[in-house]
Amino acid sequence: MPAPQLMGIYPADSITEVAHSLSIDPLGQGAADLLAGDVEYRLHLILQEAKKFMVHGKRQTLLPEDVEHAMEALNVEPVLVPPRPLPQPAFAQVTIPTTSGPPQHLYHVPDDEIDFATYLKQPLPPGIASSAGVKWKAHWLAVEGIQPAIPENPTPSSRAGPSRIQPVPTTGPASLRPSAKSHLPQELQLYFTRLTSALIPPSTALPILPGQPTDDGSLPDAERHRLAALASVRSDQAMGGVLVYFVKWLAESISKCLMSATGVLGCLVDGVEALLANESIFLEPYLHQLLPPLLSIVLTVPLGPHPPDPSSRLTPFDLRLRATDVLGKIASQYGSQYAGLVPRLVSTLNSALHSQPFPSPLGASTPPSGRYEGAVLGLAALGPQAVRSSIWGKSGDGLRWVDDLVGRMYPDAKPGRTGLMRAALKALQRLTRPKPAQDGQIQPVSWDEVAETFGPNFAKALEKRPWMANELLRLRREETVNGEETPGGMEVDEE
Amino acid sequence: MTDSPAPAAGPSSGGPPLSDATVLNKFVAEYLQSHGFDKVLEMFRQGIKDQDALEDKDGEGEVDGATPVGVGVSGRRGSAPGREAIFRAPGPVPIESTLKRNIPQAQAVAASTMSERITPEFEAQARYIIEQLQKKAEAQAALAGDDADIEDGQPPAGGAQESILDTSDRVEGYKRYRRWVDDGLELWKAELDGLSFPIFVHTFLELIHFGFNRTGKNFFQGNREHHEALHASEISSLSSITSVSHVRLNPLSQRFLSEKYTVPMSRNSHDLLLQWLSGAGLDEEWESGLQTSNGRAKEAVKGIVFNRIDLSVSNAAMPLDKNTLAASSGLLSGLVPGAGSVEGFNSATTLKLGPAPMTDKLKEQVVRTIQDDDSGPNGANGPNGTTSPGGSASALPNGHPNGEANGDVDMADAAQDSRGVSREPVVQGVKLEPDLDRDMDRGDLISPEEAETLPPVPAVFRIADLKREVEAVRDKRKMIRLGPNLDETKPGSSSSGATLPSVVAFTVFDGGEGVSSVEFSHDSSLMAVGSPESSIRLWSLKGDKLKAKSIDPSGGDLVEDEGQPMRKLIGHSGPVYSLSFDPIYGSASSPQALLSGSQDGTVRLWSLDTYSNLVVYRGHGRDPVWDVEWGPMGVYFATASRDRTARLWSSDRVTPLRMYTGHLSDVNCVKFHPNSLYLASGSSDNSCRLWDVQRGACIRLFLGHSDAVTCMAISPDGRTLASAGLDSNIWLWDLGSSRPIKKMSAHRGPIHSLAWSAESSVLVSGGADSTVRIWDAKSAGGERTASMRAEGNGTGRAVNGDAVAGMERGGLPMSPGGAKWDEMNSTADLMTTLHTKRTPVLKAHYTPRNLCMVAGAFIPPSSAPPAPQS
Repeated sequence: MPAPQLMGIYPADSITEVAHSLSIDPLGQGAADLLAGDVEYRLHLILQEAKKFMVHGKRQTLLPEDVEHAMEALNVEPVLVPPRPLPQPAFAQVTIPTTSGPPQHLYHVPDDEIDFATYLKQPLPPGIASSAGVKWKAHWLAVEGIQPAIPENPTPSSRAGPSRIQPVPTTGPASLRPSAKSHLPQELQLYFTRLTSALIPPSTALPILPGQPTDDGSLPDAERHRLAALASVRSDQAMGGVLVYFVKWLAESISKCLMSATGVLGCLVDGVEALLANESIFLEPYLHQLLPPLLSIVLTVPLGPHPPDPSSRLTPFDLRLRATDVLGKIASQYGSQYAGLVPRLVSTLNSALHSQPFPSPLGASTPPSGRYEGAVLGLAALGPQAVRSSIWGKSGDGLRWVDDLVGRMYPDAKPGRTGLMRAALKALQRLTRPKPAQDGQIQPVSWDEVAETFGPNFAKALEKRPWMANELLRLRREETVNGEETPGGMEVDEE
Repeated sequence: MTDSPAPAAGPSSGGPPLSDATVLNKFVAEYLQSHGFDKVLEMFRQGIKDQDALEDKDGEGEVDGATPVGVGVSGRRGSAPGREAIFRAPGPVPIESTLKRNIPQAQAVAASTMSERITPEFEAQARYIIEQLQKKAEAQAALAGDDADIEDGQPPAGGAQESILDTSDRVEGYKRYRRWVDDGLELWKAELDGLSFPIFVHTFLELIHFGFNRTGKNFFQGNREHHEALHASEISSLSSITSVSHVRLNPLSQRFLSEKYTVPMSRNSHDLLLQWLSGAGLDEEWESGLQTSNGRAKEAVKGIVFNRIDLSVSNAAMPLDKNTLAASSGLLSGLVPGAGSVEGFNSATTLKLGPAPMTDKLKEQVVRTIQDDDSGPNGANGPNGTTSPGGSASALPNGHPNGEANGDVDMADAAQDSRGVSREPVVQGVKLEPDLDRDMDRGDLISPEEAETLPPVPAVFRIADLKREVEAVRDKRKMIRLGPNLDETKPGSSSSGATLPSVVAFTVFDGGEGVSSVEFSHDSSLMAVGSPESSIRLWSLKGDKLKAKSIDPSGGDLVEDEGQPMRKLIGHSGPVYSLSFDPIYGSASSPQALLSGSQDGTVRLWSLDTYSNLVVYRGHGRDPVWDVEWGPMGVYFATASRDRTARLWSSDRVTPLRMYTGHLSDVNCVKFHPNSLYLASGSSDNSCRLWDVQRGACIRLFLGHSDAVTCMAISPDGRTLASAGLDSNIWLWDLGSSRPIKKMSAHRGPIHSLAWSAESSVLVSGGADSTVRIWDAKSAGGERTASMRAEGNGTGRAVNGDAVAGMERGGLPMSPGGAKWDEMNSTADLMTTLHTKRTPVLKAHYTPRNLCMVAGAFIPPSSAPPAPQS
């Protein structure tokens, strides 16, 4: 006989066994298989019907009487089942020894013969005898939608939800592996809830952020709460407990809020900054979650609501600046431990800076300059080396690209006022020596040379900053003289 | 399978019916030769030589020859006789000899005497191969007809044979389709995925049909998971199929084979689909045609799509939303009479959804009574229309017993003004404040004529009618206004957000055998509990004793006994699945009659004066009665049963008056429209229907549920039907236009009960997950956005979904609130969730004054089933 074909879950062996127990001729070949399939089909049919009785009985467990009713409805001779709460027959197990492989099990319902006379004399089962009857009780499940805290209502912690403690295996290899789902204790949940709600003040308070005192000099409530929350993030050890959730919350919130009021983003960036300052937590594993949202702030165009909200004190440029500050902090804090961190950031920003301008999603009137501003600011924050490699280029050639961008992005604005130029000059300050206090000794600048080497826009922007212009020219000259590498200005600027 | 009677029949159709074996052999040889099956031909010839040795197989070939014509191959019936001959006559012999060399199983068999070893499986494979051959021929014929894009029309013979035996191409086709959909644009995914279910089913049925039972079963088990979310009941029904005979027995598979599955699609996704099917575009498989498994896989899908699926392409460029998809896909053709579409069917009739009319006399008397009341000592409302503090006095009676008076008199007055009815001054005297927007609100609803309702509005009203209507007005006045739009309608109101109902929970415990139904009376004075062991228990919720009246046999006087706190009604012989109190007195006084439906197939009418059984209604045979409900004005009632019908009864007759047939499975619940003209029914065939009570005709069909519908509720304003069931979703349907309004989901288990607030704005649902959920029926719904979640969590109340506010707040995900994890996956219109302690909520009910009552049986932890949430 070929290997038994197990179509479903009902084994053909059972058929064979039953056939043996009956006084019929042995089954033909394949008959058991066919019958098994058919038996399973009928079982499905009965169960499907029984399920209806379960549903209408408004239960979620199938009971023997459901099956009984189903068989009655299908006109099948029902198996007599004693009504509850009489003891239900349980399946008995028989082990069949097999020649090969593990022993197989058969299940059957013990069908003992019962003597009616003795059965009726037996005492009633406890379920019937001791029952005082059905009772009911009324209580307020909710008063105007709020559940009163009375014993009849479940406590919040006993409700279903991810925070519910699930049984953890205490033995075996599974117990060693921490459960994938962390369980926050009630207190930490509360802490997390308070923290996150305090960090983002209600929208009415947003325009006055960050940290502007009201007219009488005191801070508004929302702002005080926020500062307290930031202080907590900055110093509390308890952050360690909610760190994974907090980082996730920050990351998701930032990515959701890129188009919303800049104030919200500012608050979130503050949160990230405060988190970095906390020395009692181990943040490294979560850096990879924090960097992308920060870079999003730096590079996203458009950032903030459109049209811009005039009441907001935080312009997108400021926002990018703050985000790059935080980025710089991360780089200086963790750059030495993780060799790849800074180069990767630099290359990301570099490629953003040198990408071709794309059509702005907001139309031609608002060019996507924000991305370049952000990239330049970010590079500035990452240190002189980054500025040198990505913006300055070889002896200042890189500035031509920026100059070109300024020309394309802001065709009729004053170059010195544009965000990109401001950012670029800010970045270049990382290379130049600080401007001396007294103005007297500024040499006259050869503007033609500036315009020729760095571009016309730079020349215009540097008109007000002759020292800067001189420094840049000097850098360029030194570089061409020395051939390459580290001119003197570097050490001076190292902060 | 491709049943298209297409060019394939070409070579054979010309020939006369062939019964002679030699002629047939010759024919087959020619056929093979002409189509380039060199190697097969060779084997075929070899087979002819062996034929003498294999003669006794002819009989079996014939026995099974009938099968392919039987199921699902209807298309083949009409094709050329020569083709049929291949199946019937000794044709299979040569093929089998071919098989012998190619099927490992067959090779093993061939060693012994082959004739005894031809199993049905073997036969089926042979049939399959023949089909493959024909298909190939078709394709080649088609290719030859074309400009022969593919020069290599004749595949290497070895490849052909391999492919013949390859059952995987159908499976592969399904898989490829799924992969294509999954990798495709998110935008069209939902639409295209709608097609994958019929492809899945037909692939499975075809595999079973060709006898690849195990492959079919594996395929089914391997892929069912994807479809279980949306097609749980179908999957469950099909999962029992393991062989061809089951396909024939199973009603669902029969429907799949005999009807076309309708899938709605927007134009763009249809184009995408056609592009993919025709292999144009980016597909690398195009080149290969039928010769590779890729091509054949696609061919299999193509066959199903073109033969089994009815694509209803809409002209919309935008993708259809999920609710529309769910509501208009499925095996629709069998659902509506005639050949019309569901939409056409649904829009064929206009409904009169307005409230039932009231006779002028009754109206007048109601107004007078109210007036007397108001001028009485405790009249809160002065006759001159000083409204009650809540501003809720729109005190107008209407014809509805359940107390949802919505200013009916106003409208009627306006109408009657023009006709110059002299009753006007009376009404003016009462000064009933009109609720303007409500009036406009229901301006488009047509009220039924007085003679149309069930029973017709009597010319002379009874005391009960008067009491009921007066109480309805009082209820209306004292009603708590619920819902989120309080602020908009009452600018002066300082309350923020929504007003949510107060909920009283009645927990039945120590039940032993449990509880299978609960019902509250309209005046909230009685609670009836039906148990699975056939008795009904009645309690007074006011703490009164239930006194039974009887006639003193000696004196003939009416006497009352001293009463019992609980009355047990015994009469049924099976679980009591449904209860209904008579509505004649409305909320004015306690009801006099109770109806109960049971597993034993009977409906019983109980007197609540004597607490005895008055009438037994038998009509559903032995089939259990799942639901029973009184008509909104008493006298008539409706039942739903396992026999797939709903029936209308009059309480004074023991035979049904009307039968409502059309559902394809059990009718689980019935619900009357408040004006008694229509009856809604929900069924295990995942649909709801609306019936014209008088004509007995189905006039609306609501499709969208993915599992059985077990409860429904029609809003008191008569516009909206809410339905819910085992799929844990609640759908709202607009009765007038028969369109789905929205789907509301949050429950994590079957929903047992739904109830509308008196002003039809707040829906409450109770389910097996031991929760009561309160829904804003008027808001737009849809996916819950983060900001809503945030705000909802902050205050414990949800606020109207306001996209602008969401943007402004910046849509924070995961924001505060560990307490409401369970609302994460809910739609936005969920206002709040109320948990009970281990008490599945069996019944939700609103009093006419908008107090919500819920009831359930406590499940003690020891004997409890595992919590539904885990």
